[in-house]
This record gives sequence, structure tokens and C-alpha cells, in this order.
Amino acid sequence: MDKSAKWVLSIVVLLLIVVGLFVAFSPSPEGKETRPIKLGAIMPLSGDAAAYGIPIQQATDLAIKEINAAGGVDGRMIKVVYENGACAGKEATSAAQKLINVDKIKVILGGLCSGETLGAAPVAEENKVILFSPGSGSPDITKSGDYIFRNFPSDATSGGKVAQAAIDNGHKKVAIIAEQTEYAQAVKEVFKTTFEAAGGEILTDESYASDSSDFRTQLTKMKATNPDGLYVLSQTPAKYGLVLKQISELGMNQQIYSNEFSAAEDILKDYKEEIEGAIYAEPSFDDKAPKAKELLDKILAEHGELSGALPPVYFATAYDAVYLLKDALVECGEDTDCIKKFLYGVTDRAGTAGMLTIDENGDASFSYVLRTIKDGKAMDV
Amino acid sequence: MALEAYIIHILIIIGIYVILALSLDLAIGYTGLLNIGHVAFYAVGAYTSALLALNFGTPFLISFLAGGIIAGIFSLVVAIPALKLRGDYLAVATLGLAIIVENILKNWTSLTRGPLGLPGIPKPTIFGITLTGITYLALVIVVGVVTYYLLRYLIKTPFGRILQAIREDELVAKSLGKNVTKYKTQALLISAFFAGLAGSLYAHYITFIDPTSFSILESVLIISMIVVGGIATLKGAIIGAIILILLPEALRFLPLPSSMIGALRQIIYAVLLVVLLIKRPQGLLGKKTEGVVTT
Amino acid sequence: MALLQLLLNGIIAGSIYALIAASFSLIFNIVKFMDLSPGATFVVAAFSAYSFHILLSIPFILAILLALVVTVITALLINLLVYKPLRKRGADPFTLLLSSFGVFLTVTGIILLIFGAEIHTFGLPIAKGYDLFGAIITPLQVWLVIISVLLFVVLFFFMKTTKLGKAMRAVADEKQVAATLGINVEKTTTKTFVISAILAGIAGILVGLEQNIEHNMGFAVILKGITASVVGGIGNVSAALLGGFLIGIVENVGIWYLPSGYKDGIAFVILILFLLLRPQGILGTRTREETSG
Repeated sequence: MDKSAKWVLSIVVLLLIVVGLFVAFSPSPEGKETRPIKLGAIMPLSGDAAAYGIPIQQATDLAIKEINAAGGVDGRMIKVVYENGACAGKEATSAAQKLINVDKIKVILGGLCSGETLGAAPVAEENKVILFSPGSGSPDITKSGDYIFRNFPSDATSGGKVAQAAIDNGHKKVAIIAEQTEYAQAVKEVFKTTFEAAGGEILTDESYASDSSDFRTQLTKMKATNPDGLYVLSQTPAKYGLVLKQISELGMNQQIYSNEFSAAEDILKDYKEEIEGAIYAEPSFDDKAPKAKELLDKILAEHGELSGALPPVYFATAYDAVYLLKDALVECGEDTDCIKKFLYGVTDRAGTAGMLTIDENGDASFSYVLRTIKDGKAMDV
Repeated sequence: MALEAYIIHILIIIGIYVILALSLDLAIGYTGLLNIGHVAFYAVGAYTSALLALNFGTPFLISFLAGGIIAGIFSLVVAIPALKLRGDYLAVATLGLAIIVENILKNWTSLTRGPLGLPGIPKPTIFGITLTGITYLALVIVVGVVTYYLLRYLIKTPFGRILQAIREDELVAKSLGKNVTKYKTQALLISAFFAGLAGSLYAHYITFIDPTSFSILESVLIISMIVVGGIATLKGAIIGAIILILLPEALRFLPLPSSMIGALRQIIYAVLLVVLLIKRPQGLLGKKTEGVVTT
Repeated sequence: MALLQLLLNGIIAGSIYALIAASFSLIFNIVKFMDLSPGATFVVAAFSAYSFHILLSIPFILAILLALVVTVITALLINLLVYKPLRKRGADPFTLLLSSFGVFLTVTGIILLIFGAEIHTFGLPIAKGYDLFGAIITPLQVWLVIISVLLFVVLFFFMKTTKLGKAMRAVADEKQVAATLGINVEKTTTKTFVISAILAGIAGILVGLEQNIEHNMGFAVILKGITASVVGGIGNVSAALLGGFLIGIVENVGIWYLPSGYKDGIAFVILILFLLLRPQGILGTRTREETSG
């Protein structure tokens, strides 16, 4: 090896030493009671899905700030250790391994993307660590383990609700466009099954890749089938807006059926005409309820804007999740078997996102409601 | 438990990428086939093994080997452009193939469940012992060591020498009466077989796979490993894999402001990669003049 | 009616692929490696235009010009800080490709840091399109196609008639010979990066205006650009226009018959077919069939 190779290798060695020091000097869990309690968090902090991760991080930080200002958990502050799950199973597995084994964390908030939660779940389960997702909707998570919880409804309910609404409106022929992601495809499948079982006909079932922003041909295909209604499912509100725009440009004016993104701030603002009259399902969440409004106002005050890319319900579930985990920590300390029991026992707990009940699978049992946009505002159908 | 478990996890991931990097080095480094589509073999191996285990409850050793074999068979598809094209043109063609494979994984939903991915892939059981943690690491090490020694043996045999002769000058190899087509196909087949095994190891370790786990960026990562370590040096491939897996893990420990973590990690990782390449374009263990393509 | 709409959709998409393909081809011909950095300059231009026009309220035309200046500076910095040192060291094309990937990640990382991961829009009003025999195209899309085609006309005459254009072609054909003819190879290379960045930059701004901007919008685009460049004929910059249109049209007509999820796959199937059956591209000549192996 010549000089430059040694140079590079020495940098690598130096890096490893730095890491070693961090590990060696990171506080051990056997410390005194006054040490902060660490809460792990896995969410997408880079890549496409960071559009979710970062606002949810804001809601989490807000809850933590309030809890700590009010004295934390029996005088111990809560400190959040964030790891980037990058919306991918592999990253989330590494993140969970690191949080559990290096930071010695017993309770993890996350993941957000279902891929993250499914990747981290086996690690959490094996180590008897609580994994609490405030935003993963995949039906597969229901069966992913005893220590895995969420306060976000399984996607399965949304698609069914909207399918029934379309049938009730006499829209028996629907064309679908759904993004090629886990979330959108899972919801779409449920829509399709329910809709067809109720006598509806799917004229065409189109999809698009997450990194594309030109859906004109998919929409042209849908237009050519002469549908009564369009079912649109995107992974992010921004892509949803773009689909709405191109629908409008192509002169299509069918009834739009969709998901809770219809009520995202940006959509209501930038696609006022296009979104008018859309019918969608959203987790039963009343952003006018005092608690919810207070939360949204606080985030607004702190960051100047509600990240308009997200429907408000996500802030609420993340915020509620932190408070729920805090109560669990007060009740049980870091005894995860006790926390597990505590969480399974949650019934009709009032939070900013409404009443929460956790069922025997660790799933939230709050429901979806049908809503529509009228005069630029979301309201019940 | 605890810290050791994290280290074991990192070592398992390193082990899987060592196998990927070694197998790719046979194609790129020793045969001169600029294959950007290596991730396709990795994906085929992972999906084959996972689907067999999930749908038919196949014992691990069988689905593991099947992962390698089906990836090997799939390499015959890649062999078509590999035999006809060279240099950058082959690179572009294999890049296209990898994207097509990812596209198929996303769309062939009746088989792969598309973007929903395959959760709940069973942890392997060998002779009644379920492998997790240290025992899984042992399995990965065994496969890695076998891969290393087999490839090291191969490149020293007449077979390996002919591959290297093809890399240096295909016409000369041809004029010596060597069946270039046969040798290139075999090199790709072996390369794909081991990548398929790595895919199986990945699937049964993470227990959840989806098409995003096998994007073209994975290929770039694996190629980075062999270039950083030094092309056509097996030890280099190992060192490259270690560095490029440890680097982002090490970055987890830097105390960065939480709102910027994602972006800063990406920047630091990318800048370090570029600096490494500028300071030592021939790789850590490569000789000064060694390069894949000289133009 | 539907077929005409599909053709229009293909041409609109193809115009963007074509610009990126030209940007990619220019660099490839001069420095002989697959450079992903047009994907990065594409994003930089879109975000700069957005910052100047929307955030700083600078008038539109001036904002675009400033954005292109920022884009060119970015490209020059990339060449100066990364590619030049690598070339001096005699790095092989593979190493250069990898470094361009590092460059791509660095640039998009910085944009993520500054602008966040949200998707931004210029917020142009949604226009009702012109109706052409049942097919619909919006005014902005008409402009997009016209600008793209015009740029190719300019590029064509630039390469054929100007001194710099001729120098670029000479360096592309044979570096040593060009050097002995008194052409400053390094300077020509730098200028090539400038022109390439302007092309990618304009494409980025057009996409930003017509669709939206996000920090990772560049990767899919550069891949399509590479495909279009190969299909058109990688040695021939003007052929990128043909390549772009062909890819755009085939993928859009293709998903009329196939499930639309296969859209990305279609482009790459064409790519591989071309590489196998007609590696010199539509307009290429037989001599550049194989690069060195």
C-alpha cells in the first residue's frame, strides 16, 4: 500500500475510533434515576418520504417539549433519539438494532412507512422492545408481533368505505389510478374488492411510479373508458395535487373519490377548483375539536406554517402517541412487559386525534368517516 | 446482548455485501464485464428464496440454493447483451435490465405482491436450530468464506487466467482459440449464483423484502465497494464492503441536529465517497495503473 | 382521438428527455464517461428559479437567467472540484461514473437541507388546454415543446458552424489530434460543461413550471436522458431529439396496451433492443459501435 492508501485508511480508522468513543461514553442505562429516559424514533428523514418524516418529527418534538417542561416522567426528562428509516426495511432494521442495542432503548416511536415498521418489527419483537407506529397503515402490521402497536387505522377500512360511497352515489363504473407504493396499492385492493362485490365495475386500474410526475397517458386511458367516477390514490398530497391538475387539464370532470389527502392544506389552497366536491375517507378526526385545534395552532406558531404536505391527522396521531408512551413510562418505567399490558388495556382514551382503543392485535380501532370538500372546506358527507 | 447484538447485526450486513462485492468483482474486475445490473441477481435470489419458503414451506437450505441457482439461470438473460456489447454500452444495457427487473417485481403482483412486499419470511432453521444473531452471522461467514476461497481458487486456475486474458484483450484470447462466449457466460453465471445466495441471506435475515430494497442504487453501492477497495482485488472488495457499510453506520453516531440528520448524512456520505475516489481512483488496494476501461 | 392524445403526451415527455439526453451526450462525447450530473444541474436550476421567482419575487425572465447562472456555476464547480482532479489522475470511466453519483447525492442532499423534502410548485394557474381534434394540450406544454425543438436547432447550427462547436467535435473525435491542431482541450471541456448545464437547466425549469419540483426529481430524468441519448445515437447530439421523442412516444403509446405500471420498463426494453440491434442509434454511423472493452 502506498501513501494515499494509508491516508485513506487512517481516516477510516479515525472514524471508527470516534464511533468507539461515542459508544463507550454514551450513558449506560444502569445510571441514576435522574438521567433522561431515551425514546427511540424511526422515521424517514431523507428521500421522498421525508415529506412525512419531518413534519411528524415536529409534532413529536412539540409533545416532548411540553412533557419535559411539565417535569418529564417522574422528574426524568425524555430525550428522543431519531434514526432515519429512509422508508426502507433494511435501513429501519439497522436503525432499530442501533436504538435497541447501542442506545439501550426500550420504547420506539415508529416507523412511519409500513416498510419501516415491517422491517423493524422482528428486531423489536425479538428484543421485547415496544414499537409504536403513529402512521403505518399496512394490514400486514396487524400480525407482526405482540410488542408492535399503532394508533393509526389499518388501510383496509379506508378503501371499503369509499367504495361503498361510490356505489351509494350510483357511480357503478369507476376508473382507478394509484401510486405504486405499499400504501396506495393496499388501499386500492380493498376498494376494488368491496366495489366489485357490491356490483360495481372497475373499468381500468392504472398506476404510476413514485418518481414520475407525468400521468397524462394513464389519465387518457381512464378518460377513454367513460367512467362515472375516478378513484385516485397517491402516496403524498403533492403527487395527489399533480394528478388533480392533470385530470383538470385533460378536461375530465367526473366525481373524484380519494383519501384524507383531499383535506391537506396545500390541496385546499392550490387545487381549490379541482378538489371541490371530492369524496374521501379519513380517520375520524375533527380538526375543529378544541384539543386538535390547540395542537395545530401550536405547531403553526412554532414553525410558521403547518407543513401543508400532510393532512392534520398525522400530527395528531404522532402527538398522541408520544403522550401515550409517556403515560406508559410513568406507569411502568422501562419494563416493556408492563408497558405492553398497559397499551393493550387502552380503551376510549381521549387525545387530539379522538378516542383511541387498542385491540388485541395492537391495532387502533378508530374508524374512518366519509367527508367531502364544499366551498373549499372539508365537511362530513 | 446489547452492544454485541448491534455489532453482530452490522457484521451480518457487511457479510452479505462482501458476498455481493466479491461476486461482482469476478464479472467487472476479472472478466471486464461492466455489469451495473448486479442487483437484479440479488433480487432474483431474494425473491426466489422468500417465495419458496413462504408458499411451499421449503427448508432453508433448499430455498437458499434455489435462490442461487435461479439467479444463475437468470444470468443467461444478461449474457445476451454481455456477449455482444462492451464497455459503457454494456454498462447501460445492464442498468436497463436492473430497472426492468425492479419494474417487474413491482407489477407482477400475483407473484411478488408488488409494492406490498413479502413480510414474515421465516428465519432459517438448519438441523432443528433456528438461526438468529450470532448463529446467523456464523452462516453468513461460512458462505462468505466459501465464496472468497472459491473465487480466489478460480482466478488462479487456467479458467481464471483466460477470463483475465479476455479482459485484457478479447481478440488475443479469441485468436488463441478460446471460446470467449463460453467463458464470459460461465463467469456471469458464477457471479450471479453468489449474488443470488446473498439475496437469500438478506431475505431470511431482514424477513421483509419489497421492490425498493433492490433499486438500482443498490448496484451503485456494490460497485462503489469494489472500486473503493480496488478493482480486481478480492481483498479490496472485502475492504470496500466493510468501509461503505460502516460509513453510514458511523454517521449515526455523529451528534447532528435532528431536523437535518437525513440530509447531512447523505451529504457527508457522498462527499467522503468522492474524496476517496479523487485521492485514490484506483482503489485502496489497486495498483496504480489498474483500471477497468482505459480510454 | 386517443392516439393523437398519446402522441402529444409522448412528445411533451420526449421534449424533456431530449434536452437531458443532449446535455448528457455533450459531456459523454468529450470526457467519455456516463455523467449523472445533468440530473443534478436539472434540479439545481429548478430550485434556483423557484427561489428567485417565488421566494425573492424577482421578475420571471430575470429569475430564469439568474437560475441558469447558478446552474452553470454549479456545473463548473463540479468539473473543477471533482472531475478535473479525477481526469488528471487518469481515473477510468467507471470511477468517474461513481464520482458523478457522489456528486448527484451531494447536490440533492444540499437541496434537501435547504428546501426540505416537500414538493414545491410555481403555483401557475391551471390552464384549460387547447382542443386539437379531441386531444388536449395546454399553452405551457406547447411552449415546452417549442423551446425544446428551438434549442435543438440552435445546438445543431452551433455544433456545425461556430469555432467552439467545431472544437468540441474535434475533441470528441480524437483528443490528441485536437490538441496538436492547437485546440485547448481543457478549455473546450469546461465550455462543454457550461453548455450541457444550460440545456439540463432549461429542462429543469420547464418541468418545474409544468409539473412541480422536489429534491429528488433528477434521477429518473437522467436515466431516461441516457436512454434517449443511446437510442438517438450517442455520438450525435442532435439525434438526442429523435431519441427523446421516440422514447416518449413509445412509452406513452405502450402503456395504452400494457398495464401502466410497466411505463418505466418500456423505455429500457427499447434501450436494450437498440443496443443489441442498432447500437449506433437511429442516426449514428457504424464506426462507433463498440467503445473500448
